[in-house]
Amino acid sequence: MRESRRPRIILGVLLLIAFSFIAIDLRADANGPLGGVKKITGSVLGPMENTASSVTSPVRGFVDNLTSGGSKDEQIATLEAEIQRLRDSGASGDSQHRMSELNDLLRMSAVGQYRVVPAQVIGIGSSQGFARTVTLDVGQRDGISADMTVLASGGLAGRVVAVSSTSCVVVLLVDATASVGGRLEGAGEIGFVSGTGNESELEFQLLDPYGPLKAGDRIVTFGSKAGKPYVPGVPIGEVTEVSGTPGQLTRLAKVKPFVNVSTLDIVAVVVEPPRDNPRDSVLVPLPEPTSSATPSASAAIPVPSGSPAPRASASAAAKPTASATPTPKATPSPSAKPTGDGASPAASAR
Amino acid sequence: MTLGRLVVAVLAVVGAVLLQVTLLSRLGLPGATPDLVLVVVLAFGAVRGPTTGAGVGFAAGLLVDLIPPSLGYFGLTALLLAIAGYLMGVVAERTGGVVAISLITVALISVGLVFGRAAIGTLLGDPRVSWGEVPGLALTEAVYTVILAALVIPTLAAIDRFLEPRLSL
Repeated sequence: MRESRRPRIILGVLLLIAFSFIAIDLRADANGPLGGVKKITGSVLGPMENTASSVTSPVRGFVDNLTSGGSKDEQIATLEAEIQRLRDSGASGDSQHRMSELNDLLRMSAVGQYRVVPAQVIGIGSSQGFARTVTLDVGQRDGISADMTVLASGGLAGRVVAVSSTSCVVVLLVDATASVGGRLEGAGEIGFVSGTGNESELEFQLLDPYGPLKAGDRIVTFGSKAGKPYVPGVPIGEVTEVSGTPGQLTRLAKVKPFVNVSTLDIVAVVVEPPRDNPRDSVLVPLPEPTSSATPSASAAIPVPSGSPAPRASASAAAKPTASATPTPKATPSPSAKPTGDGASPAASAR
Repeated sequence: MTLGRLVVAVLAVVGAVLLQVTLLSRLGLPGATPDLVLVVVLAFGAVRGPTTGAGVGFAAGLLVDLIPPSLGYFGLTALLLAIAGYLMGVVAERTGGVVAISLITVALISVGLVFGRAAIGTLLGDPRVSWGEVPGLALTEAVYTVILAALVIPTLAAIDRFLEPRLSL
């Protein structure tokens, strides 16, 4: 009898402790005791996560190749081409893809005049936890603070919610709690873009019930006060389906995000918002204004897709965490970031 | 628990948590993310009994709740995994570790975990929980967990036999 009761008592004690943790966490804010614990453990676990991420990156690449290829013959052909390319260039396997991502980030930060710190995704939350979050390998010492905008190749990825000294947590735009002010390209009609929890779908709610809204319209960020948490002018996505008729109380549309979060790798954190609103200039110019094809950001950049990468650019792509801030202006270090921590974010962290 | 067994537990839990965020969740597999942490907790419950199962589950859950990019309620995963490890231990003890029963238990616990997480999230007012996704997540989660458990449980049993031949069942 005594033998069978001991595990039950231990379980009961553990459950009580867990319940009290949850209760404390429910009431506490980021500055509470648990916020401090999370910050400290974040600075310990962040570097470990970073190391584990580099160790597991060949496995990820291998699985990506397996799942992305079509038939066996196609895979063999792709792999042979890849081997030839590697022999020619001596560059690492995915440097081509990463270079085009970096190129697009540089283009966006240059056109939009965002001052950015490049970063790499080192961890992703499990999908059964419902939150869509990622860890980046930059933190406080790189000039990152909470409520900064995160860009990825194509457009807006999300916002920073928690920072430790060497890593930070980003809530992606597709998270069900994310909400950002959006503006239609050209027309200037504004509304709210919200995440749905679904990786390939956002929801856009137009403020003006009679405003023009049609499939193919592209949306950029409207911009928050002092650029926190969202800087203006960042491409968000393209309207795919409009529901409701003009004049209805709320007009909703489905939006396909420009950023594919399932393949998120290199991103850029905006440490200083632009002085002037870049309006629609960051969007990739369309060949025809009414083209319904998804504007692929990388298509507009002169990146050789088949030919081997030039050495200089490939080596730049291999070091995405360099603390250099690519901006069109000669500005000082990224630590000169705006101080606006008191500004209230548009959406809560939880 | 001897020192060797403790070291095995710490290494297994930390390794599983790190692999979980850096590798498994980035593979983009359909449905749920294979939950290696849950599998490790269930393995400790099955091989070392309910007390160890509950303890390892609690510790692993706290680590999962702390490691970035986790934003969930601190303590929620610890609560669920402690129960999971305990149940697995009780079933393994009562049935003497029959493979079929163990794997069915693993599947049931993983389904219960997905539903439990969603239910507690709803109770606590988490706006992210979408019940439409839950059945699909639970089904894929059960499949992944059973496959991984079929590999991990015998491995842990073998390690324990190697470390302490006399203590093992």
